[in-house]
Amino acid sequence: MTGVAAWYVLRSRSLEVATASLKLGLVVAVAGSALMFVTGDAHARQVAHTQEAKFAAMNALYRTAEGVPLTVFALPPSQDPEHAPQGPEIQVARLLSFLAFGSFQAPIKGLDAFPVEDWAPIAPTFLAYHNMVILGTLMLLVMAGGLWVWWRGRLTSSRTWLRLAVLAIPLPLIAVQLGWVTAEVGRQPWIVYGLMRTAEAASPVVRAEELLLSIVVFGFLYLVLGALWLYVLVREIQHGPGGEGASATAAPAAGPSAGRAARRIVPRLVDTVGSRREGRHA
Amino acid sequence: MPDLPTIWFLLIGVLILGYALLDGFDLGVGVLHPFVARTDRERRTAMATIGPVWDGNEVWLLTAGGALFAAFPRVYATVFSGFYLAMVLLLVGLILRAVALEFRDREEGPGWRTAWDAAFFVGSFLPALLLGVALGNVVRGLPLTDDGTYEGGLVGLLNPFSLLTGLVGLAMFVLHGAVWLALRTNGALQARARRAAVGGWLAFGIGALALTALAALEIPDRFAGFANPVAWLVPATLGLAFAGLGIALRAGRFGWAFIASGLAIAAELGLVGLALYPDLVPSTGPGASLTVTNAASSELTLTVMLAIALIGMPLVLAYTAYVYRTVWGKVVVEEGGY
Repeated sequence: MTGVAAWYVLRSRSLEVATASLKLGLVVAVAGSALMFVTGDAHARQVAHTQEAKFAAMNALYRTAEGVPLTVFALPPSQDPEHAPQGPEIQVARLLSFLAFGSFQAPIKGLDAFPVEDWAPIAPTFLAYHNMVILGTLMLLVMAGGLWVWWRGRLTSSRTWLRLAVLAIPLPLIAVQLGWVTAEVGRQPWIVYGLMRTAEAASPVVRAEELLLSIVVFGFLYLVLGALWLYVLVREIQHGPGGEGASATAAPAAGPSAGRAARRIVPRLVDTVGSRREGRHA
Repeated sequence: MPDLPTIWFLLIGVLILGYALLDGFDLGVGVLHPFVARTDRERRTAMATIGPVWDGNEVWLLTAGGALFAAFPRVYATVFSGFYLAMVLLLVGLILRAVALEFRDREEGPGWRTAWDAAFFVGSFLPALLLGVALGNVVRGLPLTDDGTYEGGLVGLLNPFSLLTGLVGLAMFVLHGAVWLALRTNGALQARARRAAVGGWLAFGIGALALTALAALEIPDRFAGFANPVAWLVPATLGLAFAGLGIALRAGRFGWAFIASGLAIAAELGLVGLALYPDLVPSTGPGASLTVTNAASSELTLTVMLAIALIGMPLVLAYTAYVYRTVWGKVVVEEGGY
């Protein structure tokens, strides 16, 4: 919402609606992003307590240790601990132990505490999780930047920030998907954590070809629908908020909003009572 | 006092009935759409008759599926996995219908609208046909293995009896949808809908008779329920509803026609219930049939579910009634809008 409103402001369109949306979106975005760190922390802690192997994979923790650091940056980890990539790492000492268990010395189980067949794919889980957090942080920073710009009274004139806001639009969508990848890849090989493996839950009568076919069909369908959705969304944004019952604030009619209004379905409901005879309008 | 599994047999039947009564006319409208609605305005009108309600109507299917999963998980497993490809096709249909309804009017280009009209048709036709085919297969019986699974794939589902059931179901939905359209539109659209309703009525009548005959030949065991004379009320209701529907259509009394159509659907499903009970998935093969007893969840599960259903159902019925009351009336689509 903030991003779209910023886009309108950059183009000096529907300024009244856009500025109001900008402010509202900004406030909600900052509050939401900040709150996200609270809920995210709680959620990660829950995973640390109940899904230990997943937590180890998320953090690429090969060995059980005490006072485990939080890895802010690292190269993609390998599934085989013997061949872990040796590269630059940025870590905050003992922070992971503190965040997960409340003590800087708390032990956290590494992957070595679990049999190899119970390990989730480490690289995807680690990368998805860390990038999700990075994107979430970026979102918060951009929106906080917006608050600062607003406080400086340059909300609608700071083109730099406005452009950042537009670029930030896809961030939450990507972050959410990364979160799902973390959760669902990280839970492997379990479909019911610790109780049932995904392989055990697969239906014996559904053949692999059928399964593949359905994946392809739905994948293709969703791609097409996703593209169409994007197209429709962009068209709606380009047309602007004018002509939707908004008052005369749609100042520069940059879009053919009149055409859009004509296309709208306006079903008029006529009382059925006494309308049994055909062709009768109230 | 019937036992919990039987109560849930009935409740799921009610959910399926609710779906057939509500989304039945949505599907019917979708199948009729390209034939009965000719101009762009008529097409928008037809869509507008189901516009506010189709989504809530479709939810009844999900609820029925969910209830089946929770109350009779073995049936859910056997049927939904066994009919996998048909399920995928059904889902594709439902997705197409949903998106078509949402996207059609967002652009003005004729190619855009034609494409979504086609999607709307296909998205209505597939579920209307496939649900009947699925039901036909279940009633007819499946060659279950000792594990209670069905391994026959899609091909095994395309037998004459089930295909006929699918066609009868399709006719039923088309009839129901046509009556709905006649009830909620005016003018040329309404006239065409009425003619379609008469056609659907004939098709349904002939199809249902043929299906009964075929059933007597192929699956005579399923008629065991009719030893009880009370059971004969169901086909009697069907006959009366069918006749009443014909009369109401003739007289142009579409409100009564819709009620009769609904009653006929209820009676049809009642016949299915009579044919099945106490089996849920009769078995023609080596394995045993899935019955209300051997496929049910635990007493605890069924009891908790029942408590939730008794609270939830009145709420659902209340808000559904409210929505329909709010949008009732003839639908007239205007140019220009605001």
